[in-house]
Amino acid sequence: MKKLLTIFSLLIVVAANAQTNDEKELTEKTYLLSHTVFGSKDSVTLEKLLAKTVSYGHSHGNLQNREEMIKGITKNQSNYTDTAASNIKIFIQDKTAIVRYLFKAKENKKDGTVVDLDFSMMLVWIKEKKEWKLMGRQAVSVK
Amino acid sequence: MKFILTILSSLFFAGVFAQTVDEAKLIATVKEFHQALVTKNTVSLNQQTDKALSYGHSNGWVQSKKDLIKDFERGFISYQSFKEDSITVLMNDNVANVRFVADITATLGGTTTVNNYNLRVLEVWVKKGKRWVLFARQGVKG
Repeated sequence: MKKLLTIFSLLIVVAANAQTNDEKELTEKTYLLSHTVFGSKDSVTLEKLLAKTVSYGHSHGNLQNREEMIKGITKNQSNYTDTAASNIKIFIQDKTAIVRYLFKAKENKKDGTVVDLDFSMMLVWIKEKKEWKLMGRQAVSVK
Repeated sequence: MKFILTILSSLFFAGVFAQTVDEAKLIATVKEFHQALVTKNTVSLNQQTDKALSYGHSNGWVQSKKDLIKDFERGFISYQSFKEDSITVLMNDNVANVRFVADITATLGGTTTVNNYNLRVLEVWVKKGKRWVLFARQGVKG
C-alpha cells in the first residue's frame, strides 16, 4: 500500500512537472516570438518557432499564411520601442495550447510617425515532434 | 505497376475524402455552435466547448466557459443573429484554425440597444474522440 502510494505520488509529481515544463516552454517561446516580430526580425529564429502551416491575423483583420508572415516581418521597416508583454495566460489541452497576453509598444514608422500600440494577443501553439510550434495568431487593438 | 498506381491513388483519394468529410463535419459543428449562441442553448454550448475555453471579443474582453454560459443566463449578453461567411479551415491533426467573417447583432449589458458587428474571427477547435470542441475564439473588427 505504502509502495503504491509512493508510486502514485511520484506520478503526480511527474505530471505536475510536465505541465510546468510545457508552460515554461510556451512562456519562453511567446517572449522569443514577440522579440523576433517586434525586435530582431530574424527569419531563422522565426522559422524555428513556426508550425508547418500558420495563419497569422493582424489587428486590422488582414490575414497572412506562413510565407507571407515571414516576408512581412523580416521586411517590416518600423522600429518598436518601449515594448512590453504582460498578463500571460496559458491554456493547455493535450497537444494544443492557447497563450493570451497584452502587448504595448511604440511603433516608429519609417516616415517618422509614431503610433502607440495596445494589443490583446491570442496565440495558438501545437506540439510538433515534442516541440511547441506556432500555428495561429490573432492580434486585437484594445485602444 | 498499374495495380500499385491504382492502390496508391485510391489511398490518396481516401485521404483527401477523409479530410473533406472531417472539414464538412467541423464546419457543421461551427455553424451549430453559432446558432446555439443565438438560441442561448446552454446545454449545447456546454457540450460544444472545452472546459478551458477562452472566448475573446473584439474589444479585448475575454469570457471563460463559465462566463459564457453565466452571461447568457443572467441576460448580460444576447445575440439576435449570427451569420458566418467565407469560412476557411486550417487543420493540423486534432487542431483546426477556423476563420470566417461574421455579421452579428447583439444586445449588451441588459440594454435593448442592438449593436451590429462585422468581425473577422479566429476559432480554435480541438478534436476529442470523434467530436470537435471549441477551445478558443478571438474576434477582431473587420
